[in-house]
Amino acid sequence: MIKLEQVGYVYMQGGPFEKTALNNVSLTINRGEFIGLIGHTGSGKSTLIQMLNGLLKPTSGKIFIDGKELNSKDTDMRQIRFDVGLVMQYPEYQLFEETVAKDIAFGPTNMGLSPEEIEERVKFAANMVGLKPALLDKSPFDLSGGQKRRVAIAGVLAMEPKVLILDEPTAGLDPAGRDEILFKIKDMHERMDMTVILVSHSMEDIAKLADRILVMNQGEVAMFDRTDAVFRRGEELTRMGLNVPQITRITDSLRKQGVPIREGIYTVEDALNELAPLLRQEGARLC
Amino acid sequence: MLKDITLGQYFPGNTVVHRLDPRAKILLVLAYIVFVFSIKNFVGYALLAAFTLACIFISQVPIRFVLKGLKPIVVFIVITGLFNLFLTDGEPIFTWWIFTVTKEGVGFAAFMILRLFFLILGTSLLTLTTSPIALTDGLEQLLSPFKKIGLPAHELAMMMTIALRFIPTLMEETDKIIKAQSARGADFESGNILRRAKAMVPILIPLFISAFRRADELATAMECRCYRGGENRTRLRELKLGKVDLGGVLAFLLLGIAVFGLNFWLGPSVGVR
Repeated sequence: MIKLEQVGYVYMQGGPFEKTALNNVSLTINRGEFIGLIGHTGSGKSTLIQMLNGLLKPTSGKIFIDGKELNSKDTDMRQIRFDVGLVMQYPEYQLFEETVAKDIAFGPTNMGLSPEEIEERVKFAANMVGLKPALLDKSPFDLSGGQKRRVAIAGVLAMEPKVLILDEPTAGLDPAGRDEILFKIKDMHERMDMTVILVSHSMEDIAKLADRILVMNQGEVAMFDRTDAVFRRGEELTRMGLNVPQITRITDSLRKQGVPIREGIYTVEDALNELAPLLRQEGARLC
Repeated sequence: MLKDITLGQYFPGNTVVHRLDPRAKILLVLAYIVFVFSIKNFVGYALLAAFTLACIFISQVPIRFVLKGLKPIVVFIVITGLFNLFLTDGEPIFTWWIFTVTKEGVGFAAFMILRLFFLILGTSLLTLTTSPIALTDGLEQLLSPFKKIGLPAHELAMMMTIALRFIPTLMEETDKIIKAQSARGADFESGNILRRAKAMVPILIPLFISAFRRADELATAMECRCYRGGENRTRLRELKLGKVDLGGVLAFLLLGIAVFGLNFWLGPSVGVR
């Protein structure tokens, strides 16, 4: 589905402020996968995702989406942007239309769809992110921060991309808003069979959602493996300025103290399943 | 693409020209402009050229940087030159169709070109060797005597400083918004002028909104730190006049005497009014 071959990116190549953002990145992401992308600030995450829909051209290497090579003459780059939907950081600042419905329709309109189809997609996308139909005729600037962000995400979803990339979609939201948006993303991933790449600094969110985790460190791929396998390498992650989910830290230190508990626990549910029998054994009633 | 635009073309350095007090430098450039427009013969311009070149040489700013400041007004200079060349009355030396070139016209055109040329050269040397912050600082102090007649000198300087400080921020913001809208398939490159202008709307509206939001936030942040204008305000870097400034003033004094002396001794060249 998505294939990168020795991709590199250098900012201001040849100039005095030359800076390598990505170095020799090769990886493959399959259709329908949910990828968590983590890395410290400046590790090349944002550069990487901006190359996947052609906003940035790699300075070396090749990128393929569905077998089509990006930035080659035969590829329609606008079509690629519709196939690979990118929700940038703080996307609510890109809203501009008079009404929520018109703003969500911006993408589909650019695709040249028929008015009926556009209307249908707007309704569908708004419903997907949990926006009430009554809000569609309001000005996006009258909404709360969380609702604005949903409008922005719906604006990308309405293009019905095959791949959805989200750059920290929950930054600056309250816990309830965060959980709901993440739940909606998971829901869309499952219902629409969409490939999702989620950039986040929250290890808990990544642990809950991702099938595989891509760890970037100083412009290179440090790890790309199944979620449990990545979180088993907690020490390495810490050295990169990252971490494992809190619950993993708890279970790891319990194991160090002699509690017979398995490795690679990264969600609270897993920990509960693992710990409950242990506690029952000792005879105490739970709660 | 947008990051390549540099505004306030400051070329850092630590030469005598850089170290001049910004107040002195602004006043000296004003004097320089007066000289440029009062010179009446070509010998005077030769002297001025030598002086300007010496200043550029001392400042260690590469000459192509200084000349880059001329680029945007080359067309303007050429047009001014042509108008003066053809439209000045006097002793004709050359006629073709409806165009007549006069002796006075040649002289006057050459003078106008020289004046504009040196005007730009002198002022760009000022902005090249003075950081925007020092420039606004100097301007504020120079304007402060006018506070008595109600000129808000401090506020003006503050506005300039803030405007300069936010240019890179807004550039970055624009870049981000362009990317976000391109990701939704916005097309800024094709179509006629009207379509392209319409395509700018999705960029301009978010940009304006964010600029207003930033202004609001900045105002709040300043009030939180009890900012209340220039009254009784002390500064981190006090401007002090020193030997360098005295030297600069003396050099300009000599230049002035020479320029006006030459005007007096040699009289005006042909065509100069």
